[in-house]
Amino acid sequence: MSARHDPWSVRAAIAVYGTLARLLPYDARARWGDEQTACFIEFARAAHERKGALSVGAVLLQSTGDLMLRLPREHVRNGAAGTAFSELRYAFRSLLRAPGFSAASVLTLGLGLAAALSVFTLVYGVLLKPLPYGEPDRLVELDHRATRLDVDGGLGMTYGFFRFYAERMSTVEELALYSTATLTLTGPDQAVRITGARTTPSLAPLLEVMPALGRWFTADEGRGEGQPTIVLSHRLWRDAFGSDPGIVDRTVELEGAPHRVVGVMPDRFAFPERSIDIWIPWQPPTTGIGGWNLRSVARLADGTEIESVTREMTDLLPRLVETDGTGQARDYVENAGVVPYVVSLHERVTGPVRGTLLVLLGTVGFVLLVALANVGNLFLVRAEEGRHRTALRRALGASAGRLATGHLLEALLLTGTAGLVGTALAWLAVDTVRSGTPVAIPRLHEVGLDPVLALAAAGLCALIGLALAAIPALRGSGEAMLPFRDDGRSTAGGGRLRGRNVLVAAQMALALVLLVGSGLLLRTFSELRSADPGFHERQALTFRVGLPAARYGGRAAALAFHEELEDRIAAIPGVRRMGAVAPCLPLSGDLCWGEVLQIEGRPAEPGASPIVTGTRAVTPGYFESMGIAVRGRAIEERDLVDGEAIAVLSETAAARHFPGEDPIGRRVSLRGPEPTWYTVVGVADDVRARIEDTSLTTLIYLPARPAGTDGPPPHTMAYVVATSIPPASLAPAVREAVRALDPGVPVADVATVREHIARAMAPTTFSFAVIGVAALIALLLGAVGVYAVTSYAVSRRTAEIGIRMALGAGGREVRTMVLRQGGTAVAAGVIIGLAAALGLSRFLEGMLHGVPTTDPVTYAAITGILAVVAGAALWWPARRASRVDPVEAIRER
Amino acid sequence: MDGKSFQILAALAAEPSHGYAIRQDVESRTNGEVRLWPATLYGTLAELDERGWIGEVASPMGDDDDPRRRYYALTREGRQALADEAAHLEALAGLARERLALGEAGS
Repeated sequence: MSARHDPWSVRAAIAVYGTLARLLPYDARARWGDEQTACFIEFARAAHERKGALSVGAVLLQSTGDLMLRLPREHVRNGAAGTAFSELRYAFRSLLRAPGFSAASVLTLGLGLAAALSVFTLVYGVLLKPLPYGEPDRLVELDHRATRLDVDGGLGMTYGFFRFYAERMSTVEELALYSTATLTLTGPDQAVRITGARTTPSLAPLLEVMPALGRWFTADEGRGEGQPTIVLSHRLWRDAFGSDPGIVDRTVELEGAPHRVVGVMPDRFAFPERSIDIWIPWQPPTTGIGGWNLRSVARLADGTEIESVTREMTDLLPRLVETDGTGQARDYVENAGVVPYVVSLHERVTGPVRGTLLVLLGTVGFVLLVALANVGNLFLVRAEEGRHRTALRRALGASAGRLATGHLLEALLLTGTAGLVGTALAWLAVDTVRSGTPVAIPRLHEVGLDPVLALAAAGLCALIGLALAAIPALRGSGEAMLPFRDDGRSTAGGGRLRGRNVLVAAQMALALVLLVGSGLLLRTFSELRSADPGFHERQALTFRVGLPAARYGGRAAALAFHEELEDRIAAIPGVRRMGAVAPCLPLSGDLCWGEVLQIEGRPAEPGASPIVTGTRAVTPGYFESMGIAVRGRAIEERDLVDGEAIAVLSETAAARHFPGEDPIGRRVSLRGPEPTWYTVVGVADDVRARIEDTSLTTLIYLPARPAGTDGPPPHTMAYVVATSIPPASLAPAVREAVRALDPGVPVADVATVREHIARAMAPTTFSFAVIGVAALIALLLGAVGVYAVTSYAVSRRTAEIGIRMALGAGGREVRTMVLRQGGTAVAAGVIIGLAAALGLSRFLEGMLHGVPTTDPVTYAAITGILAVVAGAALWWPARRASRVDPVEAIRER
Repeated sequence: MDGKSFQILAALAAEPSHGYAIRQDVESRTNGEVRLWPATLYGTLAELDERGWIGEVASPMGDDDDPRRRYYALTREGRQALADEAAHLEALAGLARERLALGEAGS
């Protein structure tokens, strides 16, 4: 096969390797060089036949690494170490002689590489790396959808469904069922709120991960026989038990009851998520169906596809409906439209952040391109300026190859330094994101600078270095002797400027795309800021108090605690009013607790989709302290004692359950065999569960009263305390009040209302910050690029401008000429950038709220900003041109 | 003798061969554990050539072969060096087995 017929990847690899092989000492190249390159060509071709371009890249990377490591030995062996060292020193010195150029190149490229490397590290660790379990490709989540309730996945599993599947399925070889819960761990000094996962003992064997210390659960544990056991996470073991090696078989107090520690999991194990501190064995009940509050993971049988698992589960459902005596399975399948939904575990874990991360990756890719364009520009300018020197060296006998090796060394020195700077910055950035992430990024603890990535970055630097080294060669070789004929101060030829103008246009286009992206996010950000969350108190402190179920058994005991706590907090100076809600505050991102309502005098139509209504239990002060307006009346003290049961509906709940009617005075109940009927006494303003939309606002508020069993249990209540002093300063007093009442009760999530709102906006803030910084860098680099190119053109044309002015051209005409020529490139870039932004902004769709991706205001404003910045960058050189003294200019020539 | 030189000499012991084939032979014999990338392969060949352990020979395929492909064969010194190394390794292996057997008998 001749080289002409090679695929592009092989040809590119040969070109790169061939160029780098120049770094070998002359004698070795003369004797072995051709053969070595021929051998590499065979490698590359073989790799391409096996697996295509990617494999060629791997061969190139490994061969290049091999070459680089071998270089010193070859130079020493051939007695060429001295020459190589002096070449290197020469390259280093010539870079030091141009400190502005060197520093600008290293910084620009270093910043671009840092941005690209840090985000790619994130993407690699979160999206690309396989999950840290045995054969992770075979792990799936067995989930359900409720087609009639618009629940499109994420419904989960019930223990009855799980039991039925587990006994019959053949497409999966192992299944586990689990749920997470917030629990209280009582230590020697104080109690802490921790997150635990209750799981069938099949979990760890299924994931093929074994404890680092002690053992995992036996298949029979979790039936409630003998002393309960737990397994600790590595983190909890380290933080709460000081990595005590004798922890196994120790007894700890969890939820007020003694539990025996049997093992500690390895640090990398974080299932189902990083926040899990302990695992508790659990066995599903042997009868009944249960609710959709569980999740299930399974391992595919060898050679099975996800589709066949879905099919098998779907085929099993009718039999489950027939055999289930309670009728609940039939209700789920027929009324709610429950159908199985199987997704790979990888997709389930990484799906939520996939879009955002890929947008970020695209963003930093653009920044890197802008940086490359800028450095390319710097090299072009330097090559032009160095033509005189190059011609001199050639005239003195330096071969073209020798000069090319010099350029290669210079470029590699610069990109190598930039690579080090970039890696250091990226390491800092990744470390910052890891330690204080504003958004919940799954698998973040697995992210780190991987050796594979470092190698890839080194390869990228080498490639960039090669491309940059080619610039002087392209500029210099054909016209090497030219500077002696023409001393280079004539008009700047169109051809020579065209390359730079293309770079300027590209920089403008890339900067525009990034600016539009950040502009759209800024608009979203301000939309969200001005969004009305439905509550209006801003000077308040919020926190959660969770009571261990073992010591506060019934509702009455729990509410007695909360009542006492309210009294104590109310006595703290600076407290205006307070209230509490179970189970969660607005803007928690979740429905938290949902029930299906029935309306008095209106039996549910068979087959009609029931509306799931978020249910809250509140104390009388809640609405007022949160600043939620209520029409009719709110919940009062007298509603807590026995008497008529009352409820307050949210506006959306009122509109959906009583369309066109006034709900006040009507009665509703939660579905159940002997329902309590609640008279609706008020309609509260909608509060948002998520800042970005008004879904999940169908709510019913019940008084938190000791009698009855409806609604969320009052064991975990979120407090809101309105203050007349800065709310954050109240936190120590609140903690003290809780501790004084019961030192075994932890206070969690202490935050002011403003912080609570900021947390809800964190994902948007984060994306905006990243893209905004990227856009600013791009704008700055673009402006510098425009300035540099125009300045350079003006300085090369000083003589020409001088002649023009001597012939009668005015300063204004000269200025206009310079502005017009630079402006053309900028305008071309802006037009290309606008088109690209229109095409690319749809990838932002999922991150925008209340702003269309084609928002004309944003596009116009960004174009304006870019025009002003580019105009300013053009103005200075143009002004300088218009002040050229014709006599001086011509004399200089 | 370092491992890579040894592998290359072993690859050339049976018959003359060229660079790419040497790499393929070494890789398949060691189940992919030893991989010779071009710079190391030719650097090592150059070193062996300098020591006089290998020499270039005419292509066994005549003029049909790729002209850039050059074939190498073991010289007499090379053959001797490989045999010496093999004897050395054998002695070492014998020593290790002997000691292991002593250890097992003692425990």
